[in-house]
Amino acid sequence: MRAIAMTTGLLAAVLILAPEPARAADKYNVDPAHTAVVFKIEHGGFSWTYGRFNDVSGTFTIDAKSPESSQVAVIIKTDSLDTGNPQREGHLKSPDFFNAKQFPSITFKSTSVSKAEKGLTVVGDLTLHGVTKPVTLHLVGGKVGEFPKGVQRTGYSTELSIKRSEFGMDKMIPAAGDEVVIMISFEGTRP
Amino acid sequence: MPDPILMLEALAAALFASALVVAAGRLAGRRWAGVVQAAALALGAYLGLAVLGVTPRWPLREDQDRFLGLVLPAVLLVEAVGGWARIPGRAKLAIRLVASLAVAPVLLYGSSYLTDLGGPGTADWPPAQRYAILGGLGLTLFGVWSGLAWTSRRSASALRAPLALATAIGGASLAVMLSGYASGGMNGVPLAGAVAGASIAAALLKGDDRDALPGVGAVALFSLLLVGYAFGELRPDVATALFLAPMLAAAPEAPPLARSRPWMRTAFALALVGLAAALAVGLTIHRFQAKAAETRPNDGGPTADDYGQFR
Repeated sequence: MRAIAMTTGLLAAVLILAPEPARAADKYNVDPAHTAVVFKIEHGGFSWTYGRFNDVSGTFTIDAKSPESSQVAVIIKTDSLDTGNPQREGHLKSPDFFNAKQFPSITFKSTSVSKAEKGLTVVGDLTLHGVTKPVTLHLVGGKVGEFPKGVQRTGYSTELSIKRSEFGMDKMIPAAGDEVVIMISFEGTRP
Repeated sequence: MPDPILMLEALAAALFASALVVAAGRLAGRRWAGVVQAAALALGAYLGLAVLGVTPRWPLREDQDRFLGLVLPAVLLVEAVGGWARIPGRAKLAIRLVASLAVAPVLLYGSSYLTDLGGPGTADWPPAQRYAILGGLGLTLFGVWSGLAWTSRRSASALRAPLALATAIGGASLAVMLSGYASGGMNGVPLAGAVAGASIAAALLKGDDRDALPGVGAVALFSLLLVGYAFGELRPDVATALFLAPMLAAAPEAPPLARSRPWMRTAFALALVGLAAALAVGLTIHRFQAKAAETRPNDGGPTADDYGQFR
């Protein structure tokens, strides 16, 4: 009886004193309802034309203890382009610009992640128009919370500027500018 | 819309370059006619394209690259060698058939029509449908190519079939430009110029058009319309009408027109082709304007002017 009590006590002590196991990295699925990929491009130097992509999916893994283990992978469907003008969208989906039938996806896959002052610095490969080039995303955010109840959520936002000609999209310059500013805001959820 | 002045410059460059090569080629013998015409079309087309700032790019990632870097050189080579090497008629037909069947797969290579770009089974055309469509397209091209070659021989006119093709290519160029694929359509301008230039020079110098012009013209027209439909928003009815329009050049060979003078038959044929091309382009313009109007809906609600007038 004493032996059992001692064993139980020791086991309890071990369980109490044992260090908390390191939590595994959290894997999130991109929440399309709270994700936006918006871009703007100069129209002949007069103003900026805005557009967005309505079909964005992906996953990302955030490891708070070891940020370099974090990963981000996003897929954007080119055909989901939306500028509020069907005629312009048709033109933008043609080989003059995105060539949606030849290159139906825009993808980003991280190659390295590091902690930054306001979030994360993510270096990765952006594949646009069939051309892959490294880009750096300065993700701001990272608040983790439960919303709605039972659903773990986090989110980030970033902005980057690319030259479309570097991705082989070199037609109609300067009528449509070479520089494209892309604004990305995304949330991810996990059960 | 591309710069119209630049397009006219490209058209003129292509037209004169191909005409000059055909004129110079008259010094060579009849055996070299096919080579001369292919060279005329090559120089005219690529010079005109260079004026537009279009050059073949490597690797051949997109439809325009594959057309300029693979399809056009291949058909020029087939037509040049076919005339020069004195290949027997049946062998020529077999080569033409193979070439016809290869054009569509090359232009659509790697696209979502033929490739599972979004994972297994995601291609727009499932395998069975894919081969039927590609086969049908290839056989249609072969039919038009052969029909135009026959018309050229039958008409004894250096102008009729090539000018019919140049007219259709010009119309297709405009239609594709108005269908959301400006640069693809623009490529048709120097092609039309090169075919027309070679044909006019051949006619003026009492030359021959039974070699490279109909074949290269038919493949150029087919390619232009296919990429306009597949990668732009060219409607299939317009594409079909423009592709079959040059076949109207054969109409005057039927009785009773067959007994009229050659120049009358040629004029009638070109008028028919021009009318068909104009109707197809007109329909495209109408659709373009209708779509543009859709993007400016007027739902009967207050306008900016109403607010400005404090109504």
